[in-house]
Amino acid sequence: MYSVKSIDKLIKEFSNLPGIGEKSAQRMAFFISRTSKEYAKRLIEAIREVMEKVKYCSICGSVTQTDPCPICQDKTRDNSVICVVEEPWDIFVFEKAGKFKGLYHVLGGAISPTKGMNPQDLNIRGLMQRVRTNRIREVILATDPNTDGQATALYIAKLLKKRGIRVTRLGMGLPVGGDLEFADEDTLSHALNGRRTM
Amino acid sequence: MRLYKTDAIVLSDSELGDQDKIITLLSDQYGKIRAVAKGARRLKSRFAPAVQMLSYVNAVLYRSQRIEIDTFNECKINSPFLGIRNELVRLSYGYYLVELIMKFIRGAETPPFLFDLVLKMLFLLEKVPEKSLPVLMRSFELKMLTILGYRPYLTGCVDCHRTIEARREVYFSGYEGGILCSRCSRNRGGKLVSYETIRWMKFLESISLDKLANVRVGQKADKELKVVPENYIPHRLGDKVLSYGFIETVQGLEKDGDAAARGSAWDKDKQRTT
Repeated sequence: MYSVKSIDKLIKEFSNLPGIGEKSAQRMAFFISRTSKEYAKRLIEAIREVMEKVKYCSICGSVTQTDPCPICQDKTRDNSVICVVEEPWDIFVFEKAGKFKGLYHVLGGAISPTKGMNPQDLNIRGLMQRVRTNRIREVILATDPNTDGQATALYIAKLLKKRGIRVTRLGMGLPVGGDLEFADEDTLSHALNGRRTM
Repeated sequence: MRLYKTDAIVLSDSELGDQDKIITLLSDQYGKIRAVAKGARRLKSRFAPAVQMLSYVNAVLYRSQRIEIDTFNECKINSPFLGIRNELVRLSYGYYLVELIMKFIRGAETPPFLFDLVLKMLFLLEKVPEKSLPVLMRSFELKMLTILGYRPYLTGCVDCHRTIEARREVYFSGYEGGILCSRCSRNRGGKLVSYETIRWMKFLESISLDKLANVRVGQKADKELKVVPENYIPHRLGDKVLSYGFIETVQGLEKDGDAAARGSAWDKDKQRTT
């Protein structure tokens, strides 16, 4: 069977990336083989820079090039409120919205016992340490609105309530642009609970 | 391509690409099936609320002749079991229930009555007093094992078949598949349990689940009945049930929250800087 060793090697590496199967890896490898040397150099350099410079903030667990991260170092932010998220990229989503001015805490996933992910596998201890040593008045639980995210939120809420901290969950309800006709029982229930006076 | 309709319980999901999910369901007619829910990861997805773990749904699915995995066409929620999903202790039992089904049911063939048993269990899991959850789960385990053909041998010693008398020592062995007399247990091991616990096992296997709400086993029997999930079931499966530990963790949280927050495995993984 005809093959080019270096392309095969590149396909193999690309197919290790999440969500990339053999066909996608093949397309990417052939794209690289046809692209300009300058682009390939820029790609290699970008990967190298990530590997060398990116680290995880020792306070919140976010991805950063400095430790602590710029958000944890920012004195203008409200350091009495912590927003708990599952993954570092969730922080990017919040920061893009630009509405939240407190601090963050990254758990590194969600509780999912059937998949072997238990509370001790998440950065819950780090969160409890921050709550113990700083004047935190509110913790917002911004884990995903699915069963695992809910299990995680319930677990952490139980831990925090023993300390008398205000624990809130992100409002869940009807998505903007959605149609009430298609709303399910769970969504409507949350939307009704979170209704506001106009 | 064939379109078909089924009532089903959602067992698990996994991500597929950027927007889709693969959902595993227990169907009343077709056993364990897997289906793609297109766009289920998007916030405005019509499937997202329905394909949450533990939801009881009515699904319309395509079965393609070319690929083994089906595709959701529609999915209506019959019951979301919010009372389980919004309460940590009940949810911990829910995870365990799902894992038992996922691990015991391998393919499309499901024994009759199992779906009805699981559905009944979910309705009760949502409603019974919290104190009744352990005994409810023990009863479910024994009924499920019986339906699947794994009923523990409780009528006498599984080795010599001698009847065990009330005042004699009784041993329970997950490996051997039932109870052992004191003589046979010398060679075959087993955990010492009381005769009362064996009577409880027989009772819980036979009584209807919905009659258990006010049944209270004693503390000793409650502890000894754990030989079913901790010993018998792992031997039958040839595998651990990972989420059983979560039930214990949540119960520990009820007692001592700080201890549960200590001892994180996270620190071992913390050196992720390059």
